[in-house]
Amino acid sequence: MKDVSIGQYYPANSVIHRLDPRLKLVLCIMYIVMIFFIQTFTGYALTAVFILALVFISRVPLLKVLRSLKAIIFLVLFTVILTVLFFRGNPEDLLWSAWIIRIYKAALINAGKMALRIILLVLGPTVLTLTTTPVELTDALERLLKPLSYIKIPVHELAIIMSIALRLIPTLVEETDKIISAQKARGADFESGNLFKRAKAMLPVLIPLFVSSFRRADELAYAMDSRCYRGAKGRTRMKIMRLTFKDFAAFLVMAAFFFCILLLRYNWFNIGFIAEIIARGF
Amino acid sequence: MSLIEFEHVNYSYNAGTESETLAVKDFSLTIEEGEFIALVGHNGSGKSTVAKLVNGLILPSNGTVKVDGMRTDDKDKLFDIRKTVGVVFQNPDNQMIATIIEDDIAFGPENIGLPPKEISERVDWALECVGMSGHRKGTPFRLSGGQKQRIAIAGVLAIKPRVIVLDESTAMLDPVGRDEVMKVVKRLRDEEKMTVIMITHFMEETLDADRIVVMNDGCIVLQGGKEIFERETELETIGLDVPPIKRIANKLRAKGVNVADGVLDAETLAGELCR
Amino acid sequence: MPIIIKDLNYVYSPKSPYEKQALKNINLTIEDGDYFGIIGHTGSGKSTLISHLNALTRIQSGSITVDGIDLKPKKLDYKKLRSTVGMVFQYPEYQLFDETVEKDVAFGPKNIKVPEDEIKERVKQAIEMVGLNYEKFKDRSPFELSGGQKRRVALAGVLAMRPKILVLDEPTAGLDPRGKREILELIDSVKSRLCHTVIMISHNMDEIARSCNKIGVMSDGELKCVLPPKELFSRRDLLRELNIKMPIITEFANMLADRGLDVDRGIVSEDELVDAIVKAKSAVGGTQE
Repeated sequence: MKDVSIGQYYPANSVIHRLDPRLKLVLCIMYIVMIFFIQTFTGYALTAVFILALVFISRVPLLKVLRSLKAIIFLVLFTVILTVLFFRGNPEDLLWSAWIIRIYKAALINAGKMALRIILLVLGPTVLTLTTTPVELTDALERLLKPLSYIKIPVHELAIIMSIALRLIPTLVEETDKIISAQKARGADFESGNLFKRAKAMLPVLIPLFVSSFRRADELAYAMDSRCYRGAKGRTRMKIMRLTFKDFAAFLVMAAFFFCILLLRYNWFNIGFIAEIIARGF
Repeated sequence: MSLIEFEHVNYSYNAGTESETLAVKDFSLTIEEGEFIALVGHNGSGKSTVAKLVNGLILPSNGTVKVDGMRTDDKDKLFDIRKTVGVVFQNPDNQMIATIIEDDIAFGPENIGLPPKEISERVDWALECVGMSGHRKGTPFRLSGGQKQRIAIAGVLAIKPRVIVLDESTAMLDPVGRDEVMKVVKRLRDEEKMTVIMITHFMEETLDADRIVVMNDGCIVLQGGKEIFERETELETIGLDVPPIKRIANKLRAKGVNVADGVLDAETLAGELCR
Repeated sequence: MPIIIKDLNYVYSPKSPYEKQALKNINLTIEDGDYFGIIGHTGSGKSTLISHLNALTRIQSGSITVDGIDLKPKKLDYKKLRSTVGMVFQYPEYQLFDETVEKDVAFGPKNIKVPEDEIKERVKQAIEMVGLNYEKFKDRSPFELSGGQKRRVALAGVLAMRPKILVLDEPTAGLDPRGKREILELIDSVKSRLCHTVIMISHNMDEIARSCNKIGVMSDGELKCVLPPKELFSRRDLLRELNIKMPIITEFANMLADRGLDVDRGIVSEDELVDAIVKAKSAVGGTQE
């Protein structure tokens, strides 16, 4: 919790870390869209190889990446079980039945695809956040969405709120710890009693926390005003984001892979036979 | 024309409600370019209100505040006023807006719309001014209080204001941190020729000032050079101390030891006593 | 009964890249009636040490007994422990939360199940002990008080638990000279009336020298020494090694001693120094005449 401000960022010096964060964000979106075009196990297998290759290049330990899947394990299981139990396929596909439970072959295939889809879907943003700091991401988002400010969407304001939140969270977490200790020292008990009692016991922590958050916000506003802040007006940035050759290369790789997935999906130029060969290979 | 002019300024908090309190009363003060002013008073004497009035964070209820001839209640001038006067506040944690030190220091120069290269140069310069050059890419979280406050000072310096106001910027620091900050302040005055307004309740920190302004209950009660430390009882009744060396000198004199008036620092007093 | 700490070690985030040994083999006895000062730089382990004293931090290795209570067992009588050791943290005014001063001060006693009628009496006594008028302050909101008053109310909130041992983490931080003096005097009177043993962390050497009869110096997780103020501050080599500033008075006494005036290098109080100077000067004057 203390390290929310760095998120799950894993510092390493890899090509992927050094890519322009705006580009990484765009590529991540492309990747997510691409996942929805995949329909065959061949496609999923290729994508898995692709994303694992990215992890390898990024020098983030595989274990770290897999750990992020822990959070979705229930979602995956839930989806799989529901699909298997309630999918109704052709009678000739029926594999096994008992009482009202009928399990079809297509259900298993569907469930497998669904699970793969969710897992691969999550791996994309995981690689992004492991190789990009939240600050870089916020910054990239602000710059990417800048055109929206012409239609009066407060992009800059949203971005600055986000970056201040990232900045203040560790401070507030620390403060919460302190207040909890202080109230415990006055005999407060946060651990026993029912849910309602426990929620009530948190008041002596929440109230001082709110009061001090408002005070901090006030002081921060004064400090920002003092440092000539007046919103996006006339504001420049120190860090210039410039796309370089490696960014174009990365884009080409992603685009090419996306194209392959489309080829497989729609069988353009009748390349379906290649997919079959690959599938047989597996 | 003086650089900063307060003319008969009143300011009340919660104006128009029953808890209205007059924090600053008929406050008049002029500050010249290059001066080092120490503004002292106990907590609640109104000194921090003055800090917020200087660069138009709050506007006087009556009277005027002018910075380099610009009135703080002139909305069009506010931006230029804030480029001229930078304020460093008490709690360094509540002044930083970015998670990375260089981004934080760049915030001011970015706001005034400088080109990227110049911003980067100013970040380097400001960090060097406060002696924190090695920390450019670091985060402020693991720094000591004194270091954090130096980063906050650098954030203000990067705008290159002519005046720097330190609003009790040493109050939350340990003695080591206070020394660090005071060293930086002296350097800004001596080398960068900046105008400094040091707001504090530590009398030791006023010793280097050209002029000491003592506030009580929203008003200026004493003003002048180091001779004001002769008014020990007066200072004590409004909750302030004279520097300890001065106090010893006074006590010695009361016991019949021959000590000259106006001795404030240990070196001089020791010299007198060990002749 | 005293506080006895034996072979106390503490490691933050063990077995992670952020692992840090915060306390290394601490052995310390704080006697009844001590006014014990703890000094050391930020991150030296002071706060970790004191948070062990009422089991806010649990023992990893070593042992502590506080007033006869062993802090080692997993199951502890927290209520008893926390009414024995009162703990006042830095900027305690930021922990006030209730509608009125009276309710806020009553929070502690209520938690440790003090009978209703006794709570009222305790609250009244505590508010008056910190120098506030009970009738005038009891129904006011703690949030509308001045900074100094808030701190007193927070202190009263701890005193209402009637602890035998009072632990204070920088009780004067952020106050002006008068405020500092008043709080220190307040602690003196609390010590003589209620809390027999006081432990205080401070960065201010003048305050530590003024108040404490023993000073423990922490550095890098170790307890480097425990000495009475006069002895500690007269040992220049040790202070230099541990990067500790002398109190201003002591520094001046040393300056005089260096220049040949016969004053004790360990003097920590202003009046004592003045007397020593007068004596030394008259001795010098005497031999000359």
